[in-house]
Amino acid sequence: MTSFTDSLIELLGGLAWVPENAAGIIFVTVSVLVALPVFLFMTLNAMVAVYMERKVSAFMQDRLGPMEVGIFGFKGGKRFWGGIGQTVADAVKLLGKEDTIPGEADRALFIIGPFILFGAAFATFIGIPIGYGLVISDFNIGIFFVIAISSIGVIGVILAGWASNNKWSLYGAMRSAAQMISYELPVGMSLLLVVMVVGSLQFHDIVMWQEQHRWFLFHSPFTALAFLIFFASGVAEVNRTPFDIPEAESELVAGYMTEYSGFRWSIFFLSEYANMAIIALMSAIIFLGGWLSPLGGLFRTFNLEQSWYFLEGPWWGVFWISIKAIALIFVMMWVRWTWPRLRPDQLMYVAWKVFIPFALANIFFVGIWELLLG
Amino acid sequence: MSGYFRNIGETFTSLWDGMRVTWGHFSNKERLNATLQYPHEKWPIPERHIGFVEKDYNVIRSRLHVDIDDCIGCLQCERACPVDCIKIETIKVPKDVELGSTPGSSQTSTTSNGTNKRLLVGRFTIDMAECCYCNLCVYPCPEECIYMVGGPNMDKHPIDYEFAVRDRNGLVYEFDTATDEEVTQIAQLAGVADHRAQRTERLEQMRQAVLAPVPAAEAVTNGEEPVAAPPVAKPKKVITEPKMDLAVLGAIGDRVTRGLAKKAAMKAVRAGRTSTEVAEQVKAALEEGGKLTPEVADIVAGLAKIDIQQPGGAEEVAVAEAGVEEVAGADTEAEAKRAAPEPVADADATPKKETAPAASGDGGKGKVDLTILNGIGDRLARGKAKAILSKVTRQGGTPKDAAEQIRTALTELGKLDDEVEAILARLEG
Amino acid sequence: MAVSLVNRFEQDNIIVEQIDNLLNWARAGSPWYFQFGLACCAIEMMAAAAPRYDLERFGAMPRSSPRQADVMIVAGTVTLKMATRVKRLYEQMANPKYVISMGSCANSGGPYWQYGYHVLKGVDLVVPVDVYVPGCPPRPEALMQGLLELQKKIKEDTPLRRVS
Repeated sequence: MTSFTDSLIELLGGLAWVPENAAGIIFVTVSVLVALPVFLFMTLNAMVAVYMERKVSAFMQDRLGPMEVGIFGFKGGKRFWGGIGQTVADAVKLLGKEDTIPGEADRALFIIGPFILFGAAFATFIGIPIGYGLVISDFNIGIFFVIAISSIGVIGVILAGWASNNKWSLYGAMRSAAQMISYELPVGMSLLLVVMVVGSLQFHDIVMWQEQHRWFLFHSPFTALAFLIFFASGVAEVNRTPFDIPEAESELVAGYMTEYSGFRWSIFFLSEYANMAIIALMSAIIFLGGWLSPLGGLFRTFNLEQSWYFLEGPWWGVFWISIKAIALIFVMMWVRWTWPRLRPDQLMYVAWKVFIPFALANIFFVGIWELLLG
Repeated sequence: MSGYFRNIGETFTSLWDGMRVTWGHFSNKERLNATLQYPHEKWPIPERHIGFVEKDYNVIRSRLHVDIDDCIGCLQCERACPVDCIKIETIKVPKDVELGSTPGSSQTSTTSNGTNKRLLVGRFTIDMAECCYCNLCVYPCPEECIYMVGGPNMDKHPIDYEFAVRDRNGLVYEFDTATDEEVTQIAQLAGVADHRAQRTERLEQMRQAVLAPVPAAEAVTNGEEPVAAPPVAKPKKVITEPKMDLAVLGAIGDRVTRGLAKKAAMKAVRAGRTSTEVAEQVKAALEEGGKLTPEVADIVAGLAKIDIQQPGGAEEVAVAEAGVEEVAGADTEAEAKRAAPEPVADADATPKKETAPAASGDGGKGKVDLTILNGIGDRLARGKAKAILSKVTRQGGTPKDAAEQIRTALTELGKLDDEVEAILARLEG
Repeated sequence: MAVSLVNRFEQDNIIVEQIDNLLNWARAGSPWYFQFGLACCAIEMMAAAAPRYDLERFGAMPRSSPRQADVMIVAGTVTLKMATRVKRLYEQMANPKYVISMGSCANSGGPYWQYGYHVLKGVDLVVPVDVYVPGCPPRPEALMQGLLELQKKIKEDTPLRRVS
């Protein structure tokens, strides 16, 4: 299948008025053009996810979330959609805030920090497909690429904490760095399991395998455990509760984000929700069948006619993967407003003494399972 | 090992329990939602009972209101207020005049309960920013004219607890309705001071003080523009009794010896001895106490070389007075600047600042400083002497009379000795 | 962006006015408050944020870092020791910033105005206050009305236009 980049390059290269040796220019233009949907997606994701978070947290706490800020004729007040303009108001307000940089802060690093974190999240979206062939760039090392690039975000966090010239920010950044690199291992090992079974690192191959067999969640109890470990470690990677010591309000004011205000802080905020979306999308693709419709699988199991493959097709795939990702994001929010925060030592205990042994044992047992029942 | 797995199992069950609870709240959100959407929905009265039946008392914690026509000016609420946020000024109406009879008056002569009003309430301000909403002013009012609005007082005034303002002065509520002319008239008839006119005058004074041209500084040392306010000179400290620097005695190691030596030295210095005499006396005192060792004797001998500072002379006193005057002048100016922007709030609070008394030793200005008598060692004698001195000064006597009386009193007590004599001599001089 | 617009438009016109309205709507619609609860009024502030009277309906999210907050709700008695800290934290806030003085103690020193030797007689002696919410402590609804008053004040502001 051709990814977006490939189709765009073909499109632009095929235009009659393009000179022969314009490969470089075409490449640059295409890179910029494909970056736009990613950026748009990140922004929209942040807005919707923030609104969803505030409403979900409110309903779980027996209150109503934002209700008074309407937009474009949807007036605020005692209505169901009152408050729908809340994130837009937040965004515009943050853009109009003063840009404070502490006097003793390391200016260059202070400015670069959030953008590295943002860049890492941004670059990760390139390899993640949302449908058959609906991917910016199809890597044959898909999973590996995603894991590697998303780890770059740690540098941004450390820079932000260091450059703030604030010891509490530094604490938050160090804890965050330790947490992020500790939880890389369970993430990698759970994914290793899946790769072992499928035999390829490409996202499309994984979904194809799930189409032919069954979703990994239901494949065997060990892969179900792998899903749990992956999801929990992914939540820890993103610094979400219960693993949000780095940005804990009562402990560290705001952790590594303390000295940031206005636009720079909104970059952090955006990256956090983008990372959440990445983890949700990856779990959906790898363990929950990606863009496969659950109904199609059902009908396929009973060997019914092709026309019964209900609600399938490339664009229905986008719908299904969105549903799954949104459900997982909802679970992340549900978890945030239920469980208390883990102490840093408990965090490390969970990573090194619970998740990693279980993931290792898991790999072993899945190997046996495939050998015997493959 | 089993503990490890048990922990993990417990973790999962407890986590799942928690998630079930929140899911329950989320899925039942229409039924369980507890929000009162404030600007669109409001509680009419306090929503729960506060310990007693409401119809027996009329207390509630909202804004204070005064039905000024019912106020008889008894000042009970002002007295009861624990934070003094109620300020009332009344003028007693003369016997033959009826309140409300002066032309253009808005006052009634009786309250709604039929009580005759004999006092014109010229000022009734309540500062709601200082009020602590305790209702203590509501209880003593005999006419029930001061109350907090709403709730049990709903029929008199609707509830109001939302009175946020942008300007601090908006929280000072003035309830009096007497006009300026009325106050002036009644004050004239009663023959008392007109507090409204006084207030206007004081405000005018303050405004003049703010607008007045500031005197340029005398000596412009570095050629810059003269500073706005005259530089405040610190009044030079003037000593009232002979003083000697006893730091050399700090070399004595033993605490008891050191204390004895210092005490004896102070006593001698106050009695007016010279340095060598002081050293001798200290030696004698230490020998009496059995603490005189050769090293200590050397240290004490060093005392003989130290000068004794005598009480301050005339020039120092003059500088001190000038410094004190300047300080006083700057203070009133600063206070005028500070008070002028808020004419409503503090105009009637009399600036209680008096100029600090000049710290001079002699009694030349009619007000004598009692610290001269601090030199008297014996507590009883000192107290008696100070009491006599202040009494005499209050009655307008001279220091000589005071000294005579002190002499007689102390001789009776048997406490008159050389040092006291020396001090009394200084008092007369 | 704002500076060059002001320079480029010599007179106030409809575009600048619309941008002003947008900015004011955004700033009034998302007043993130810096929870500065010092004493008893803090309880009422928490009660205002609790489900019964929900401050988040107005978009007011509590932020613990002054740099990310717009409104500082000074709730409670400001002692002289705390006054220097209040000033420091106010200076750390990013413009545009506002202050709501909540309760009698923050308005004027409250019950301690006369003899309190340790109390700052009103937080407006150290920071400029936009809205005073009276009460001891004010009801949560009173605090919300104060917030609405602040929103009204923000909407009257003219960040880009020259008229006041």
